[in-house]
Amino acid sequence: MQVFKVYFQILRRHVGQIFLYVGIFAVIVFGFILPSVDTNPVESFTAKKCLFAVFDSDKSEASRALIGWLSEKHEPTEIANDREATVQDALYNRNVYGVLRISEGYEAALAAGASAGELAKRVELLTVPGTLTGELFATDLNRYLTLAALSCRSGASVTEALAATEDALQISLKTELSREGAESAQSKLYYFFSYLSYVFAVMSVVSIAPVLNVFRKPEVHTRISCSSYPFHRMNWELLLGVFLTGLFFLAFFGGWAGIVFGGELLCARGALYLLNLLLYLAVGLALAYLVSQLATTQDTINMIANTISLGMSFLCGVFVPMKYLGDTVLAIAHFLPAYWYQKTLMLLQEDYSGEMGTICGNFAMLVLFVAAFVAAGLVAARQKSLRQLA
Amino acid sequence: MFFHNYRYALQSILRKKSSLIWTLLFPIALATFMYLSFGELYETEERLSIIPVAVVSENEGAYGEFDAFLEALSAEGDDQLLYVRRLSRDEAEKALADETVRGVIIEGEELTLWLRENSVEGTVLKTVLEQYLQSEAFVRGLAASGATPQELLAAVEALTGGEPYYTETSTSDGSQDLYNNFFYAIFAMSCLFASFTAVVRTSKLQANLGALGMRRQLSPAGRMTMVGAEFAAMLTVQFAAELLTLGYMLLLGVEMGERYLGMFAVLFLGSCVGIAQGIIIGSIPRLSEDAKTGICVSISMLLSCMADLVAVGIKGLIERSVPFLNRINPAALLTDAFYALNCYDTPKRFLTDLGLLAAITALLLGVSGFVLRRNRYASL
Repeated sequence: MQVFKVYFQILRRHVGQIFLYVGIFAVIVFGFILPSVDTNPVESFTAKKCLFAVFDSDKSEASRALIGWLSEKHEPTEIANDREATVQDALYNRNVYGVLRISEGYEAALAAGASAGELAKRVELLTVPGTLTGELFATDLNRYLTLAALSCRSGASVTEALAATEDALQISLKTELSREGAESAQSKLYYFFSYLSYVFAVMSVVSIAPVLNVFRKPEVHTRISCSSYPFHRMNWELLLGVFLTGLFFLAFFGGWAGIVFGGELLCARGALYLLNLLLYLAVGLALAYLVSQLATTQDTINMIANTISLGMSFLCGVFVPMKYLGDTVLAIAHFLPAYWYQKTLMLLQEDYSGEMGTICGNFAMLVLFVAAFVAAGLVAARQKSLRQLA
Repeated sequence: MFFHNYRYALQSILRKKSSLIWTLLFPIALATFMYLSFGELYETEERLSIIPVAVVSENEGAYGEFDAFLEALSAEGDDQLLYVRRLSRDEAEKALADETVRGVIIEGEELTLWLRENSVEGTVLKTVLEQYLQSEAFVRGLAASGATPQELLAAVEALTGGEPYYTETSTSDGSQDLYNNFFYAIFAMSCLFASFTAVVRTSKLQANLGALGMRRQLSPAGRMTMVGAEFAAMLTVQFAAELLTLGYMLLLGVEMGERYLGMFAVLFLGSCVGIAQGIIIGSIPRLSEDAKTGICVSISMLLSCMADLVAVGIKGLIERSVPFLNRINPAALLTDAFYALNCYDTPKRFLTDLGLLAAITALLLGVSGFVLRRNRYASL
């Protein structure tokens, strides 16, 4: 088992990179994705809320009432200060969708029945113009200010005007979601497995392809060929090494999912999640074999690995949900294994009992990709050996 | 001697076709995938556009004023918000299911809105339509309280799209597309990946790592001259690759702004910092070339991911919790410089980013020079 031992000795050099991708996966999934997953099913309409910050220099009854009403409709938050650079960064990073500045004299202007132009001098909204969220927040702000100003202009005191405004704003439009709009609860398991497709593809290639590459170096290959070590035994031991590496990945991430999600995995749905992952892992290993035939240096392997894994993640709905992808992108994605893996994950989120045929079809597609990558790798190997002989 | 070494180093880099092709192809391929995936997501999902709605009239004549309100909202022009189609209930249901309309307004016993999903667009639609109901109730209240006809007329005018009661201010004229961060991160990653070539080239200067290194140590040329020539040759190739990627992205339609000189400066310093990172890692004695490349990959990927390569928001989170990390992460500085160039009118932040990138490059090169100069070999 010399080749098998050497395989793992070389693989050990790439453990650092494996840990790196495990770390990236952990930070993205547990730091960003899972905390924002809404696990409640969508059954009725819920108005979207915009994050907003307020800097109130008036500190009056009227400004507090405005902030209070906006806080009911939207979600107040804080930013460090209202300097333009801070606000710009917060708006760009979507930490807020609007920043409201209420200047001193707002209540006095309201009480004096100020015109729209005069009131506008005391209420400033910093937002990204032309965006849906900016428009939503601005519409709410304007309808409050309009009603409050008109009430004051009609002779009501500020307190009466604010009460009348809030009364008028209580009226709401009956809103219903269509049947297609109702969604099942989002599953955290789905996102965990979805992001695994990125990590599995890149990890398999950057860790396994360089090891296979070493055995393909002409001097190493020639030396093993003229030794008493049978050729087929070398191949079998390499295959066993690759297979065990894959199993280790599967056991590690499967175990991790088991610890985090517990009982959710111990059912037929969980078994299908794992089977889907196993098949995708086989795709990753086949891809590693193909890349090892195409690239000769570690830097090239890394560039290919990142291009393929990131590319598939962008095109197949890992980083951007599939519903946002255009028809052309989805048409292209059909030719990538991550698409079929993702499709299965999406089906497993719903009631999949009537979709077993589709799921099996998706599994078959993954098997076909494995076969295609291995076949392409064998062709590349054959071409290369013919070139060497020539 | 410098130009002699530079010429041969350049030839040597250009003859490594596989690495050269991937240096070019890698950022271009990633940019293509990203653009296909979300190049227009900001325009289609975040920007306000005309909302197609269906109106189902089931109570003829009861909603005359409301219909006039809808007509005003759907009047062609810059302020057009709705595109209204009058359909039967079945047709409207089908149109909503097919997503040819985003909402259905039922003028029945009471006014009802059907939406296909919980979305910001749906909430905007609800808010705008609600505004009509609230305004109507408000005017009725005014009339009941004894307002004069003139006052009522003024109120109706104010409520039906008069002047806004607030000032809207935009903080930037540049693109506010958050997804641009992914494209900036591609530049950061490809600049840092320049370190792969730098590791290989630096290893070839070290006598303990190969025959070529031994030969070069014997030559009368100073080590710093050789390192400088290698650096310049790598910079030439990498910078050219980055410029090609930039040109490609601009052709694709990525909104990078129009400050091209600033972009060239960022890419130049980005290439410098990537190569300097490779030189310092390459100068570590007693480590194989593969191990050094492994370190380069790990560092480059880590820094790029911290600069929003795989998920937008990581850089922002770091900025809020440990901002110092963003000041020493060259990938974050690169993406920030692009952002500052695109969104800020004043050059202060952009120049700070460039200054920090230059300082990091100088520091890395200084340390590498110190390590390489001190290398002595007792035996080989």
